[in-house]
Parts: sequence; structure tokens; C-alpha cells
Amino acid sequence: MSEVINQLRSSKFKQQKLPARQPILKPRSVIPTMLILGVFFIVLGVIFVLSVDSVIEVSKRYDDKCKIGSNCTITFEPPSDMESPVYFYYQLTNYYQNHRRYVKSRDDTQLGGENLSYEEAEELCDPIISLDGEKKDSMVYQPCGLIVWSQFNDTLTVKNGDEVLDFNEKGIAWESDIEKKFKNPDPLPDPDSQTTLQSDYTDEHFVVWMRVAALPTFRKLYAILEKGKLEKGKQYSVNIENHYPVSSFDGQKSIIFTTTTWVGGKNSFLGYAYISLGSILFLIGLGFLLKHLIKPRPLGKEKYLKWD
Amino acid sequence: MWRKKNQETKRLAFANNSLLNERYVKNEVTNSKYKWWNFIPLNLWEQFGRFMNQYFLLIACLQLWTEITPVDPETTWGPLAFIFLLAALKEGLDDLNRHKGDKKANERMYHIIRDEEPMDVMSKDISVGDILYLEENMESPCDIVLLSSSNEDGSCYIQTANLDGETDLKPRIGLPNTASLGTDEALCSFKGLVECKPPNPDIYVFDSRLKMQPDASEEEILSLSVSQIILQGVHLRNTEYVYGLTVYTGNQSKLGMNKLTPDTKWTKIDKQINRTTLVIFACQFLFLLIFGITGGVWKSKTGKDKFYLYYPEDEQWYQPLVIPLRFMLLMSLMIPISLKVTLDICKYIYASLINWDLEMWDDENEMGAHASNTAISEDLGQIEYIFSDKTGTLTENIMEFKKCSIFGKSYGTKHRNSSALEDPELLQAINEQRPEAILFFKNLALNQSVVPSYPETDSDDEDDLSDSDEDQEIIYKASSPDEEALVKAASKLGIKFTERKTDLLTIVVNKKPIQYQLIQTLEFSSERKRMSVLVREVDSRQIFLFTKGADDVILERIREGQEITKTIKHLERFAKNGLRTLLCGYRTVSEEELEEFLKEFKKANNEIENRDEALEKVFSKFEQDFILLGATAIEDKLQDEVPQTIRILREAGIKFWMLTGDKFSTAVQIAKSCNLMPYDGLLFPIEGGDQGEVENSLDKISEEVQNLDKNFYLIVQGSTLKIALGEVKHKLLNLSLQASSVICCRTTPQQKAGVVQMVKELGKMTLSIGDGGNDVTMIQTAHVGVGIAGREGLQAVRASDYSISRFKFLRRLMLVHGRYSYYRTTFLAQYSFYKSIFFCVIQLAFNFWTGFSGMSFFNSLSVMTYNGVFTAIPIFFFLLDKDVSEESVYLNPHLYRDSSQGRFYNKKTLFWWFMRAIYQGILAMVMLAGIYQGRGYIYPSDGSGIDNQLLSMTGFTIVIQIQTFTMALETKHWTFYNHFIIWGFLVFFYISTIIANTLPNLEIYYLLFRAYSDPIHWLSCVLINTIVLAPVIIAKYWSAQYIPNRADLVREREVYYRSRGLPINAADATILNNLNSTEGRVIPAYNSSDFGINGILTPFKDCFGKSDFEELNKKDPLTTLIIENIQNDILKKKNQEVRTQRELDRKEKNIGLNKSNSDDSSNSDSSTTASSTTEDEDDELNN
Repeated sequence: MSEVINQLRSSKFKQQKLPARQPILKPRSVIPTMLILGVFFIVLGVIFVLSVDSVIEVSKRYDDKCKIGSNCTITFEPPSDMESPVYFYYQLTNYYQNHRRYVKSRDDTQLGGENLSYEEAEELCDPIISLDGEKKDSMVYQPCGLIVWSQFNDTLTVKNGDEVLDFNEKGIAWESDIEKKFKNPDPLPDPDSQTTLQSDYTDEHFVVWMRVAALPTFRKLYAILEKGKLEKGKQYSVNIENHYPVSSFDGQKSIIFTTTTWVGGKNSFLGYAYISLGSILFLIGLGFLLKHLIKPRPLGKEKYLKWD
Repeated sequence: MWRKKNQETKRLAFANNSLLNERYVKNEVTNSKYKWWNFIPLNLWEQFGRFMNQYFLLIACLQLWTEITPVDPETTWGPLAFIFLLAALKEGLDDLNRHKGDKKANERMYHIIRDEEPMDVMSKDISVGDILYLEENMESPCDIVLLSSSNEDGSCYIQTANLDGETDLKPRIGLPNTASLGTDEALCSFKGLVECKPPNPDIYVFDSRLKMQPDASEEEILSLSVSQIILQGVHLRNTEYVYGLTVYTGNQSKLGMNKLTPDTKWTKIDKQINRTTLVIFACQFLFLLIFGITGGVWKSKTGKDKFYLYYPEDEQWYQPLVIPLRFMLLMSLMIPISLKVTLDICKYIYASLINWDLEMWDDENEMGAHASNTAISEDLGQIEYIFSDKTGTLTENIMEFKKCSIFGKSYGTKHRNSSALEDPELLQAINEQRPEAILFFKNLALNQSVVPSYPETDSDDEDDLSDSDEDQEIIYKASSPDEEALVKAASKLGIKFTERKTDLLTIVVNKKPIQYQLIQTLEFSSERKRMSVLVREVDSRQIFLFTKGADDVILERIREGQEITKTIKHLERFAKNGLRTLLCGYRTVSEEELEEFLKEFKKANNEIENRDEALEKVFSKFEQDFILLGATAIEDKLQDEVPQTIRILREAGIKFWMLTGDKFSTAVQIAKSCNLMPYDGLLFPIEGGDQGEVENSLDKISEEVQNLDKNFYLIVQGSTLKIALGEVKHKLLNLSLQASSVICCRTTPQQKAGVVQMVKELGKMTLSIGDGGNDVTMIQTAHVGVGIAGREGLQAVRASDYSISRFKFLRRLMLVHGRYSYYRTTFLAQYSFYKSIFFCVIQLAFNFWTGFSGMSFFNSLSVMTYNGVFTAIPIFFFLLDKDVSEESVYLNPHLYRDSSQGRFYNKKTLFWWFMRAIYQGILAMVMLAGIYQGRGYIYPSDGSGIDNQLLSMTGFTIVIQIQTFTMALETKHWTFYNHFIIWGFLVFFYISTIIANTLPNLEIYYLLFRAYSDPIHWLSCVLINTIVLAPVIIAKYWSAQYIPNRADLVREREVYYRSRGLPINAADATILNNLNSTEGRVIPAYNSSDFGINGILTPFKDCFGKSDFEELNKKDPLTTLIIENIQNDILKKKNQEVRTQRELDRKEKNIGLNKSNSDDSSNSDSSTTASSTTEDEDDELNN
């Protein structure tokens, strides 16, 4: 019996006697923390905003200037020199790539190079499964699914006068996708067949499209100017073969050229959020400090003793 | 073959005729619930009986439909299967153990006689009518009627520990007609027949008849009673062997019929959690409607225009349901599936902590506390009313014969501590063989049910026993400690009870043995409140009827014209000093009277129905005309620290009621001495013999009480209580609830339970504590039953949810274990709800950006690990959390109100938790969308934008961080384990995501490498964590600083001591030490005005004026101050006691206890015999 007792006695856990600390929120720790954090956040926010300001971004909407099926040219002039790398995007708005019906409509094994039977395709690719809805393995779209079927198909070429600029359309997709996720099937799909929606699964524009955007306004990388720069004052033009319809869903299409900085592109939301949060923390901290200095917690008041 | 399906009306057990007994079941005992083949279906069926399980199954099934499921079905199937498996495993293991036990019991070999043939069979093959042979120390496999034993008279001793936990030996005796059938041969030709009731659970009644021959006539029928029955599970002791006729077998035995699976108790907090679940369920439905409809509208207004969604022109009939169902699945996470399992495990650990707790270990009994019900620890923290037994619960139940009064002369009354056994006058009276004294102690020595036994070494020379001069140690085994004390006292004075044979009692008086033939014992029962024996002195052939019992019943039965005033006066004085009193009487009985009595007795005894009533009538008629011998007074000391414990419990806001079988004045005295009724209170007795009187009495008291600003107390007697619990119950209840305490004396077990039931019906949380068989009903009635493992057997402990060995441990059980359990469970439950809702709010908020399509923001793996790993496991370590230290709770019993008034879990707290979830969820999603909105976010190193999987994982990382910090923020007691598990899990999260990132087959392949190498990711983490957590911290700071609750203040004090390098509660420890030396004193608490203010606020005077915790003087003035205050307090109390004692004495006289007040000499006697806990001052006062 005594052995059991000794065993119990030696267990601080069982006796609930584990040594412990009890942090409490004291004015001394809370008020300085809030003030310091507030200042720090404001500074951080300002730095962020300034950094973002150094980003040069040119954005041109073109769906309203260009008829579907036609070729158009959009010109732009950089507000200042844009050093390489200059990223060239197309942007779609009001486009719900993250709609549940849309996101799920793809088959990753097929994109990884496997041929699908009709049944397999039916499971994931609804509603774009097979040509004319025929339930044959040979009629399955290559690849199947809504995302593939609705691929962005405008062609964009950047020119300085007549000279085509050296915008590289390789290296725009994630390396990991190209290496591991997307593989061409064997045999290669016949580019002329009506069941072929994409003849090269490793085409980078295709891979970029297949990474569905998280939110209904999104940009997708089209090409990168890796060397040289876009000079201030020069007229550049973008040749567009306009195929992709957006007016039916009130969407907009734009082209965007941007440089980057350590915090990415021209989005200062985070900076302003930090500035606001920092200010609020600082103000509340100041309030707490004043309250603590002017009217600290009153002591000896009966209300602390009136428990019943 | 006969009427097996018909209701059995009468059981007939034929000896040696198995054909006639065939219709009864064999003796196979089954305690198990399942067989191997029905385990899975039966267990599943049971589990699916629960509503929540049905709900989760529905969700899991819906998830199989790919069109609507937001995440993989495994996210629900996995946890569901796990939970089911866990529950099934537990059930299965339990049942396996039961199977093993059954098998062992069923395969034990026994010797029986069946159809005139002796044979050995397995226990499970024994059938009704078999004659069973049992040897010493064997366990009876079924219920048998004792026929004969190794003793000539057919007697034996049994121990019923398996049945009721009582370890004393009880005698059983076979009928004289069968006692001679002591061999196999004799019994082979026995053709007897036992007629008894069909199987029934009443273990105290066995009214049946024995026919020696199946065709015996009515006159030859012999009656059987409990004295002949040996029940299944009892052990044969001190007897070589017995034969018995099997009457009830297998699960039809009395023990088997008593095996009821007790109802599962649900704690108050369990019920609240269930209610919350229903509310969330309703919210879920509401959201489902809102989002489902919005989604439908969006689809038809906008969605169909979007060519890329390719909605077909005409759709299947079920399409309109798809979006609502998707939202239903998306929100199914709102109800935490694992909550029940989590809480079950925690409850089990709470119970284990109680079992392990050495601070509730009693060295003397070598026993700690035990939780037999592992599921209701939280209720210990929510008690509003305690109902306590007195004897053995508040007192030691070590009875000591202290004083007596014989024919109007009192002995042992010199001082309050003097004992009659040392009173020279009494010793002289015995020496002189004064007949009244001898007769008095003969009564005590004979009128009992004690079994004397001797240490084994003496068994060979029994003759020496009577001669041996030095006290031959006789061990008296008694079921009642009072009896033991009385027999011992008689023995000490030289009237020594030495031997009990079946009908022969031997006592040694003045070294001469005198034998008495025991004609009949008129047994004690709590209804009869008396016991008598009818004996014949063997030498003189004189017949005596000795009786002893409660004063009211004995006084009704004494011969008129006796001088009894002195005895009554002594009796009352004894009682007033907290002693337990009995009156003794005797009378001689003539042969004719005896004959008549025996005839009537036999007739009554032969009845099968209502035998008890018939017997009581006969007894009552016979027990009349006694000559009053005198009164005995037995002291039952208060247990350790009873007054302190009661005071702390009362300060904790718990009403403490005492329900006792003792008499009025004893109850009042004990109530005073144990702090139940402090001296400044007013005592109101509720009186009345019929409903009108009781109602009047209640009305009168209510009126008086109305303008009273003092505490008042009610006292009510059992007989009055019975009436009061009838029509006027509501009035009684109204009054009782206002009273500081209610004392019920002279109550029967049923009345005790009635009182508890009355309070329980009001929705108050009740706890009953008791130690004896008479407390069992009360213990079972209350929400929480606590049994004290005491001297009165283990019946109370068996019936209870918790057992402790001393009353004082109740304090720790409730204030520490109860309060912590409640605190921990409320956190666990609310946190679980919070984190589930938080997660779902994000999911819902995300759908504002997905066209309300029911898209899940998080991927399947996130959903599964969030609920199953990252939040589920760390919260278990909240089991270690304490909001304030244990010592602080003792010192501030008010803190118990936090739990008893449900301050940690109510609409308000739930509201704030829910608001927090909603605020945090919405804000987190809005911030994420703002930061990663397509209009600008670029991954700096390769220029790509954000895709939905990356956003989802970024969100998930932030969610895990928020939960980690939330847990950290809510933990108030940081042990090493808390650090390890909380921070460890964050590290574990990062490691596991990094590993998962390297696996190309997973959706999240490579995602987080991108995230972690992006400064925006880290900036978002800091921003969002700060935004969602800062308001919580600010609110916490504000409330702790400027609207602190009790626990906050106490916690600050603890931190203050620690910051000064002192152990927590340094001053408190000093107080405790100091108090231990002032015996019987209680830790003052904050409501004793002056102490309170200084005590609680002194630390803060210096804390907040300049800096948080500035150093005080080296010599801790607080401690000195507190101690001074205590001393003042004690002094003041003493003065007050002196004052109020006088007042109270007067009052007691007024309520009709002391009718005359003339006898001066005896008055001084009594005042010197104050009970052990009252102060010496009382003596001076009374003189």
C-alpha cells in the first residue's frame, strides 16, 4: 500500500502540483506592449506603402475597345522607366474561377498524363466530359472539364513600333507544376481531333490557367520581359487577337505591365491595414495609460466585496 | 411444459424431484450484455440511438454524394469511425470482463443432491430444488433455504459483504424439523417442499413456507423467514458446512433481481452543453436557409449567364437542393463531432485525479477518496444544497459509553469528560451487587445482537475464559456501534457477555456464568425504534422481557405511576450535550403470557403477505408495562475539522441541511458544535400533529421571519415532516429556502429522501452525504451522492457516486475537484464550440467570393487535421489548468460560487465566445481577400498570382496560429506540459506541412514553400493574428483591471506573492498554520467585515498606486495584520458565544424541552458535561 502511496506522492501530475506560472495582464506589460506595437506597425505600414509606391504598373482595359474575333492594338506609355523583370498579365474580373462547379471540374490524373475511361471522366469532369455526350472512352475530351474547356484564348503580342519585344512566354508557370503535375499523355492527343481541347498539357499558358484563381478578380501571368526595360515616354503597343468573350457575364479584360519590389506588386492594402491597426493600438494604449495614470483602479470600494 | 409463459404466481421447490422443478431456469448467471455474434449490430444500434450520432451519420452519408460534398467524405467518416470504434472498444472490453467473471462463477463446482443422488455439478447446472452442500468460506451460488448445518441446531454464520458490504457475521438458523438432516444420506430421502413468492428483489423479506412432505396438511406447514435464507453471493463463515434447498437460481436470485443498470447521470453542464448544441443546430439550419436561398438566386440570376459554368438549360429535379445541401455539409463542422469523446476522456481523468489525490487520503483507514461514477465531477462544483447525515458523517461513529442514569441516579456526570465507567459510585454499586445496577447492565448485555468472538489461540482452553481475571479480550462483532459500546461497557463493569449459541446467551456476572435461554428477539428497526429480547434465566426459570429504545417509544410503554422525572431530566441533559441516549426498561413475564405471545407470534409469523405488519402488531401488544430502568448516554465525537469544513461550505454559498435520526436536542447540540448553526442565529421549530397545526406553525414562522435581519434556522421532527411534506409542501419549501439551514431530526430514510426530492424538484443542485444504510435512499435521490466509508458497513458507499473516508474531505472534493472540473469542462466545451464556429464562419465568408456556390475554403486535409489534431489534442492539456490555486479557494470559499452559480458557462459567456468566433472568422477572411485580391498581389520572385489552394493553405496556417494563441491566451496556469504541447503543436504544424509539401501526390505539393518564402505571407500572419486577437486581449485586460471578478482579484494576489519570491499564498499558509493551532476555529473569510477588506485588498494598496507590484516592507505586514484580525475575530466570537448561549438556553426551554427547572444538583451535573467541542466557558456560564 505504501508503495502505491509513494508512487502517487511522487507524481506531481497526479497530485496536481506541477510547478506553473500564471501570467496575468498587468498594466505594466499591456500598456507598453500596445504602444510599442502600435508604433512599430505604423512604421511597418509606412515602409510598406512607400515600397509599393515604387512599383510601376500600367493597366489597360481592352474588352470594351475590341470586338470579339477581331485583331486590335492597344497602346500604352510607361509613366517612368520600367526595369526588367517586367511582368505582363491579363486580368479578368467578375470571373468566378473558384466557383465550386468550376473548381472541381477537372481530372488531375488525366492532366498528369493518364488516359481516362468515360466513367472516370464522368466522375470529375461534369459537365464537359465527352464529345456530344457520347459514352465512349474514345470520345472523352482530352483533357476533360470546365476549366480546360473555358481556357483563355486571346493572343497578346507586345511591340515597340514594329519590333516585337522580347517578352518570354516560358517560365510563367510554377516550376513544380511543370515538373510534377502536368504531363502529356501517350500517345499525344491529335491536335485536329474535336475531342482534343489542349494538345500540349505542358503548355505554360495552359498550366497557368489551370491554377484556378482564389478570388473573382484575378491576373494571370502572360509573359516576362527578362532583359532590358520599358522606357518612359516611349509608345508601346500590344497586339491582341481577341477571342475570349466576357461581356455575357459583365466581366472585363485588361492587360497589365508591372515591375515588382520585395512585397510584390502594386497592392498597398497590407500597408494601410498596418497603419490603421497600429494607430488603433497606439490610441487605445494611450487611453489605457491615461486611465491608469489619472484614475487607476479604485481600491477598497465596497463593490469588490459585495459578492452575494 | 406447464405455464412457463404465464406469470409465475408461486414458486414451489421440490427436494429430490427434479421433474417437478424443470420449469425454472438453471443457475447460469449472466451479467454480460452482448454475445460474440450480436456485439457489432447491438452496439451499433445502441450508438445510433443517440441523436448526435444519427446526425453525423446523415452528414457522412450525404458526403458520399460527390456533387454536394465540399470536401472528401473521409473528413466525417474518419472521425466518426474513430469515435464509434472507441466507444465500441470500451463497451467490448467491459463486456469481456463481465464474460470472464460470469464464466468463472458459472463453472465453479458444487456438491448437490438431486433425485436422491449426491453429485458434483457446475454452478450453472444447479437448478431449483437441488439440495446444496456448502463448506466454510464458500460463496453461495444461488439462494438457498438453510436446512441443516454442522451445528446440531442447524445454525450458521454468514457474511453478506457481497450484498451490502457489511462485514459483520450474521446468524442464520435452520428450522428444528430439518436441523437433524445433516448428512447426504438423510437428505436423499428428504421430500420437502418450499413454497415461496416468485423471484423478487427484496433481500430483507423472505416470507415462505416449508412442507416436510409434499402432501402435508395445513397444520404441519412450517414458516420460513429471512433467518433461514442464504442468498447468492454471501459467504459461509465460522461454520463447517451447511445444507440448503435451492429456491432461486441464476439471474432470478435476489441478488440477480437487484442488478439494475443504474440510470446514467447527466451533469448539469452536460445538459447545458446539449442545449447549446441544439441552439447551434438551429443556427446551422438558419444559415443553411439563408445561404442556400442566396446561392439559388445567384445561380439563376447571375450564374446561368456565365458561359464558363456551363449550366444546362433544364436540370434534374434535385438541383435546387444541391446548394442548400452543400452549405449544410459545409456547416456540419459547426457542431464539434469530437466534443463528447473529449469530454468523456476528461471526465475520466477528473475522476482519476480524485482517486489519486493524497490530500484526501486517510492514514487511519488507509483509504483515499474514490469516484465510482466517473462522469459527474462537474456537478461537484455546482452544488447548492448539501444534505448530511449526522452519525458517522459529522461524527466519528466511535461510540463510547459515557454516562448513565439508573433509577433516577446519574453516573459519570462530574465533568463533561468523565465517564460513568470510572465513576466510583457506580463501581461501588456494582461491587455491592446492587440489584438495580446489575439489572440495568444485564439489560445491556443481553438485549443485543452482538456476536462475541475470541482470538484464535484461546480456542483450546475455553474453560479458562470465565475464570481468567485479566480482561480476556473478547471481540464483539456488531452491526451497530451503539450496541457494541453498550455491551463493552457492561463487560467492563463485570457483566460480561461471553457466548451466544442459537438459543442460549451466557453472561458472566461477578465471575459466575449465568445462562439465559433466548426465547425471542423483537428486532430493532428504524420504524420501531426499539429492540427487545425475551429471555428465560435457565437456573431460576424466570422470564424477562428487556427493552431499550428511543425515549418517545419507550415512554409510551412504561407502567404508570413510576417516578420518572429524574430520569427524564438526566436524559435531556445528556441529549443537550450531544450524547446519544436510550431508555432501558424491563418486565417479568408469566408462563401464561409467554404461551399466549408465542401462539400469536407463530400465527403472525406464518403469514406470507404482510408478515411484518402482523408481527409488529403482536410485538407492540407485548411490549407494554415496562419498568423504567434508566437511561444510557453514548458519546459520538465530532470528526476532525467538521466545524471548519461546514463553515467553509456555507461561505461557499452552499446551504447545509442536517437530516438525522437522532433526537431533537442531540441534533441541536451537534448542529451548534459543528458550526451548522452559529450562536447568533435564531432557531424556529416547526411543530404540529396534523396538517392544520403544521400550516399554522409555518405561517407563524414566516411572519416572524419577514422582518428579521438575522440568520434563522428551522428544525423539524420526522413526524411533523411527514405531514409538512404533504399538502403544505410549498409553504415548507418557501420557508426552508429562506432559512440558513434546516435540521430534520427523528427522520426515517424515506423522509430524508423526501426532503432531498423536494429541494431537487426546484431545480437546485443537491448533494447527499451519509455513511449508513439509512442514508442510501437519500444518497440515491440527490444529484450527487457521497458516501463516507465508515463503521456502518459499505451500503452507503455502494450507492454513492463518490466515497470519502472523512467528512472534512468533502471540502476538497467540492471546492477543489468540483470547481476545477467545472472550470475545465466549461472551457473545453466553449472552446470546442468556438473553434468549430470560427472555422465555419471562414468557410461561409469565403462563399461571398465564390458566388455562394458552397465551396470549401479549406481542403480536406486541413478540415480533418484542424478538428482531429491541431485543436483536439492540445486542449486536453487544459486539464492541468487552474484559474486560482487550491489554497486560494479554501481561503476564499466565495470562489465556489463561480461554479455553483454557473458563471463560467451561461448565455453571456456563450454569447461572447460566439461573437468572438464570428468576428474573428469574418475579419480573417476579409483581410485575406484584401491582401490577396487579384488587383495587385504578386509573388515577388516569379511574378505569379495567388491560386485558391495557396490562399487556402495561407488561411489555414493563420487559423492554426490564431488557435494556438487563443489557447495560450486562455491558459491561466502554465506548466511545462502546457508550453510543450501548445508551442510544440505549432512547431509540429510547420514540420508536418513542410513534409507534406514535398509529396507531389498531395494537393498542397510545393504550396507552402512558396508561401513561406514570401514576405507578404509573414506580414499577413502578423497582421491578421493581431487584428483578431488584440480585441480579445484588450477586453480581457479591461475587465480584469477595471471590472474584476473575484477570481481575478485572487489571481492577482497569487501573482503578487510570486513576484516577491514568496511561495503562493505565503500569508495564507501562515494563516492556515496559525489556525491549526487554535482548535475548532475557522478560517475567517471576507464577509467578516474588517478582515475582509484588509485581507483582500492590502496587496493591492501598493500594487496599483505607483507600479504594479512595488515591494512592501521586508517584514510582511499583511501576514501580521491577518493574524491579528483572526485573533480579534476569535475573541469577538467567544464573547458573542457567551452572550448567545444564555439566550439560546432560554429559548430552548421555551420550545418545550425543559418543562421544569428545579433540580439544582443535576443541573450542575449536566452543565459540566458539555460536549467535547464546546469551550470551557460554557460551563461557567451555565452555573
